[in-house]
Amino acid sequence: MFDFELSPAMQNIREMIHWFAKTEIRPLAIEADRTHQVPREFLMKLVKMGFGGGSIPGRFGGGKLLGEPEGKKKESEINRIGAIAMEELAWGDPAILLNIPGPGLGGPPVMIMGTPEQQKMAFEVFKDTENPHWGAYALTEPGFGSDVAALSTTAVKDGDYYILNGTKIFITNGARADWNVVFATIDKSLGRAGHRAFLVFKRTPGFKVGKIEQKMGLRAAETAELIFEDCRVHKDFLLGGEEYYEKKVKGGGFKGAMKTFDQTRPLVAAMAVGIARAAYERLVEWINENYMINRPIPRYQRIRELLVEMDREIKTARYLVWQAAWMGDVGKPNTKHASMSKAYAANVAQRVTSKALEIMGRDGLERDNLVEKLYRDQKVFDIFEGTGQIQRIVIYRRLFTKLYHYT
Amino acid sequence: MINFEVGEDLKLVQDTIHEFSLNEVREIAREAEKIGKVPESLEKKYAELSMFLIDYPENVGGAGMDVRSSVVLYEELAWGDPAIALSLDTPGFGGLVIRFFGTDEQKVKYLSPFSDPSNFSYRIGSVWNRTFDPYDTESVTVRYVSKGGKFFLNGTGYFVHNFDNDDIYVVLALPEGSEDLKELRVFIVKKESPGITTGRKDDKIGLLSFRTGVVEFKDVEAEVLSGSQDPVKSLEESYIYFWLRIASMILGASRAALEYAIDYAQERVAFGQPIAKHQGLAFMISDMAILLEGARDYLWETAWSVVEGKASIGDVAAALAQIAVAADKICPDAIQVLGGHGYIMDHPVEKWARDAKALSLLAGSLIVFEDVASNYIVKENGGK
Ligand SMILES: Cc1cc2nc3c(=O)[nH]c(=O)nc-3n(C[C@H](O)[C@H](O)[C@H](O)COP(=O)(O)OP(=O)(O)OC[C@H]3O[C@@H](n4cnc5c(N)ncnc54)[C@H](O)[C@@H]3O)c2cc1C
Repeated sequence: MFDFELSPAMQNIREMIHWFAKTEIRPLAIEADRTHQVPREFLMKLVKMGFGGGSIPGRFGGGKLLGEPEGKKKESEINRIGAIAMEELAWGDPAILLNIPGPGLGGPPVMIMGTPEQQKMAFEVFKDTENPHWGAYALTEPGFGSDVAALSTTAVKDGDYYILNGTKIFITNGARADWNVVFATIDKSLGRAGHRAFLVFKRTPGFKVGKIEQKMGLRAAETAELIFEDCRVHKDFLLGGEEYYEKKVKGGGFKGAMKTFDQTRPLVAAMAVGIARAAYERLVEWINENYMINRPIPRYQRIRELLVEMDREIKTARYLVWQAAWMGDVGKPNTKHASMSKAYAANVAQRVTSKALEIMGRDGLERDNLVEKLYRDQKVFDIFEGTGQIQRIVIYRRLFTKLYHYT
Repeated sequence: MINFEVGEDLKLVQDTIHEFSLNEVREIAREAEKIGKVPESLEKKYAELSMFLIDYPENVGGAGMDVRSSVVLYEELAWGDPAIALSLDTPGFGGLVIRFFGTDEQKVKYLSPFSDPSNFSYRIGSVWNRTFDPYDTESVTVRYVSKGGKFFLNGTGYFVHNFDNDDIYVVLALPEGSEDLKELRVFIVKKESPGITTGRKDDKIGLLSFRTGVVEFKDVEAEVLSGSQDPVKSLEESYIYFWLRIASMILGASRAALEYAIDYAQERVAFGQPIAKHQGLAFMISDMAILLEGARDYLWETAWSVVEGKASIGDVAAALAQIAVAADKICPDAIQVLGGHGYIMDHPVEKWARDAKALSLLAGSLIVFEDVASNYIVKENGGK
């Protein structure tokens, strides 16, 4: 029967990460936003604590992943634990969260599509505990973001190599990453069937970093342009190997790439929940500090109503995330629910941060009050990992089962 | 551990009620609305399913399941028809009040008839304040006095279920001249007691087959329910269970409307293609689906918290507010998907929209839900 009890592992993670977010992340948040970077000592602290390594699957030299099923009978808790952890980390600070060393959004495609050798190559870099390391996910180009069919970075086969040409933009941690999962097409006329994913390491000839973007928010997070000029990538770095993309392999190719969203969207949604909650809690604090003086009673009443609304919307968003994550853990198809959680949580973060600012009035303007930062940070959660509109397309395609025939 | 599986026991309830809703309730919903009551034949069939006391303890004749069972049950029944669902919950608010205010003996006496299907027409009406705000003592309309160890009631009850056809009335009353909720007492009045007159039947925006009306009490002698030490707490408990039922029903009505809109959008053609292919409309439907799913998740979490003893009336009020707001979007938008046809009684959507709205109003309204929730939020954060 349905229940919402956190397992001991979930409980531990929540407490541990919350404590860490509160004592280590939050104190750096505003300064990191100003300077557009996170201190190296902090990153190294994360590495020493095994944060980067925490996402290395056991068989590649990392510890056991928290929530990984033990033995046959136990059900996986990975997605739920991930969601709980992400909410707490984003509560600490979403930009710093994106700085946490590790494979990042590049992890899921490597895990889902990669061969064991490729997985080993990708994850081995995180064994180094003297330096921070990152992975990244490079899909977006100047000419498209949502419309993946317009992918135009080319991959032309040349003997044992593929020659990549094109530009990727807005890639989180793309410049400093040890490797990027780069999507390219072998033949534009094939549409999605022509798409290929490559594991491209930093010093591959023909690969260079372009400009680093200045942004409305998430300023401490790196958003990079990546340029590929006759970049030669050996076929061993084609994720999954060539056969993966032949129709014979079930769930291969583009569908494989899309599958990663089922895991990552609830996580991104969880981050939006964390941001909304941070703003809400800061607002409550602010009200307690500032609303002792006399003001017209109807205004208190209005504020109370707004608080209820924020609170119930944040909870609703959280439970949508948990549902999508739970479905992922027990192996139910969760594409629709993943999109629901992401679409709703992003909207909630928008509404909550915006209303919190309105309630704080002029105090809201001030950068020291954190909420204006959260307001700037949250906007992109309705944009990356699929815009709100794209999530709604994913949803209605699955509602209109008479018109569209895939799950 | 966090889990959204409905589970075997509740699946059985869900399947049973779904079939009943589909084959019996939907068939008759418009007719029931027209005649302004639920036909006895349907009451009889429902009684045979033995669901009246699904989340009541076994010692009073209940099934002994926890409140999650009623959340699943009433969503499914209201998916069939919201007005019939509310009517078929014949114990209703009064039954819950007996459960939380009565002594064991009183509970058995007044609730156990529901466990026998042959009593399908056993009815309880309840009388409380006008606004249904749990803390609104000013709008309490029935007052009690005690004379020589006996209690007498005076006043008027509004929106009393089956007002002229009840076996007993459950009356929540304050002493003459008092506004103190701590002095709340609950009484049982037999329908044949002298001094009772029934007034007009209500005509409402929706829930028309849920028959309600006015009952007047003039020096009516009443039996006091004497099982509660703390009337405020018992009242809150009654509300927790009742509001969870109302929330489930609003959810069921909204789901019915959403499903109908999804089907319709794929059939109806405009500008050369199914209207589902027009993105403005498709997006609207996606948003309705998101709201519905989120509302259920929140409701389930709240029901679970109640079972765990972690939820206050404020938590339940917040969940109910979320669901009422979701319904306020989902149901009118479902009409919108059907265009002019949605406005016409040939389709059930306009009815579900009216019924969902009426459920929210009858249970106190969004203003009350948010007010109760906000009291708790302020308290939790150390305010007054
Ligand atoms: C801070 C940041 C970090 C990012 N990190 C990464 C990363 O790590 N890796 C990566 O690959 N990308 C990343 N991105 C890119 C991001 O995923 C894209 O910006 C996003 O997918 C939207 O694409 P676009 O900007 O090209 O907008 P467009 O696709 O051009 O969309 C413009 C508008 O049109 C709407 N629209 C598009 N198609 C439809 C349709 N069919 N129906 C209705 N409306 C439609 C969109 O919703 C949007 O509102 C990042 C972006 C930012 C800002």
